[in-house]
Amino acid sequence: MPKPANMSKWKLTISFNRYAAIAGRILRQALKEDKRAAAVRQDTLEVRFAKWDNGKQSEPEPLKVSANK
Amino acid sequence: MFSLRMASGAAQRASATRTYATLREIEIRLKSIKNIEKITKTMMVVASTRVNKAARAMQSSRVYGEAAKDVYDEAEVQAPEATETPEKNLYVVMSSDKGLCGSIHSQLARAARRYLAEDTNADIVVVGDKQKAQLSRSNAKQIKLSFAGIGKEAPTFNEAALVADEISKLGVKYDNIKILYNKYVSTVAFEPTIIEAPPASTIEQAPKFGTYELEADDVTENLAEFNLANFILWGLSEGHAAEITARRNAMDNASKNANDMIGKYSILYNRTRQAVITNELVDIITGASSLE
Amino acid sequence: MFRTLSRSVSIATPRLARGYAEASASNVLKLSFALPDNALYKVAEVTQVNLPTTAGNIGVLANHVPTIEELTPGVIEVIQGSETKQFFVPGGFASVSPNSELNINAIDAYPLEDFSASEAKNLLSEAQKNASSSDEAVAAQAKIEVDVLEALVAVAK
Repeated sequence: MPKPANMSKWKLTISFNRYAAIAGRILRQALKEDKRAAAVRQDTLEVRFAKWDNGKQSEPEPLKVSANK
Repeated sequence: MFSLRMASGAAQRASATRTYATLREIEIRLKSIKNIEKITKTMMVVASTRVNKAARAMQSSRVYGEAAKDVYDEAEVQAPEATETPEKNLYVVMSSDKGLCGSIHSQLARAARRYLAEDTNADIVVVGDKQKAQLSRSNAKQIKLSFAGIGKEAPTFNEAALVADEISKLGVKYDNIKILYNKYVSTVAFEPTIIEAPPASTIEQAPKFGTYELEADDVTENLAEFNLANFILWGLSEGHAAEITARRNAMDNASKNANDMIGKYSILYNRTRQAVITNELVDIITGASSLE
Repeated sequence: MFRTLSRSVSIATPRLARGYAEASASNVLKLSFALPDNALYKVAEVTQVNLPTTAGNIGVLANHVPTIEELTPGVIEVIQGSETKQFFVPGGFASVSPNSELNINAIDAYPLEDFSASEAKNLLSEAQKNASSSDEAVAAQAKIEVDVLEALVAVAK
């Protein structure tokens, strides 16, 4: 994959919602300390997801806020 | 109830030793009901404290979701007319992992089955282990994704965004995405409801969409994706509020039932104890008179 | 109170009150600014709102042409009379409807003064390092973070 010249070419690789999750999280980390503690609480994720094929569930994987496809 | 009648009948007729055993049985049973009542009461209190928080989160997500829906309404976005190829729809059926909340999960599953019976070509995404258990029995082959671990606390945007992202990554061009959730109606009522999250192509075809100026081509694509996340969050938050409220009500009822039983068993216990004392007195008096 | 009254009258009898209704509607911009977990403004009457969009910064006044804008990381300015409030957003969408209602749905937002400029700078230098990582996922994530943080560092005090 060629390196995009423009930084905001994130769109080529990931979806808007993944962008939104990453952008929101980094923003909360830049808050002043007293505001940060409460704000970053929403960034703890315990969601697992599993793909299904023809009635069979595969091994569940954790969902992560990352650009990992 | 059955055992209650048995016990009281037994108490009246039983011999002294039998009555002693029954008395202890009643005592043990009474203690266990009291413990159950303590647990359901605690669960009720825990649920109550979370009800307000859940309701607040739901209100915010409603504002957020309705703002997004506003544009669709203004532009008069409608589901596309049936085309030659059969429609391919996706149902996102959302509740949670935990039970003890009345008919929250079963009513939603019933509604889902009703829709799916008319839309046999549809795919399904399930959120929550309870919903997975229900729908994997009847519609396993249509399930594409399942999610668990959402709804312990009020649902967050991150959760919704990542669920929406996984749906996008299925790579299927759905004609329509229908999000099925329990709408919070009041503190005693909820209602399985659908929010539609149409794809960009449907939005662009809306009769009044041309009223809006758009700078770039991919704006609608991103908007459709973002709104899918918004609507999922909306549905999750409504469902969460409905569930927490239903759990509080279920636990409140359970505590009340337990209290009723505690009352009945206390009376039975006292009566039985009285019978034991009477029996003993009779024994003593009979014994004494036989010595005369 | 007066305005809501006149509005409801204009809805009930549109023809009679038309000129009046248009005059009252056209002078105000109604702002709804929502976050996933909080509504900052609910149909509030404001003078002007400045938005950072993918097509550049735009100012929205009453009677703005209906539009849908994708927001980029930057400052949203809400001007209410002589008062101006600044919020930093990482992105989202804004739409102006034909009846002068501006709906902003942001991914998240905080008043500009809630941010720590030094924290933002630290995070930025780390993200810049990761942006050249050979791991594509790490690099892609870092590039988004650089986007957000560069915009934030430029305005945070």
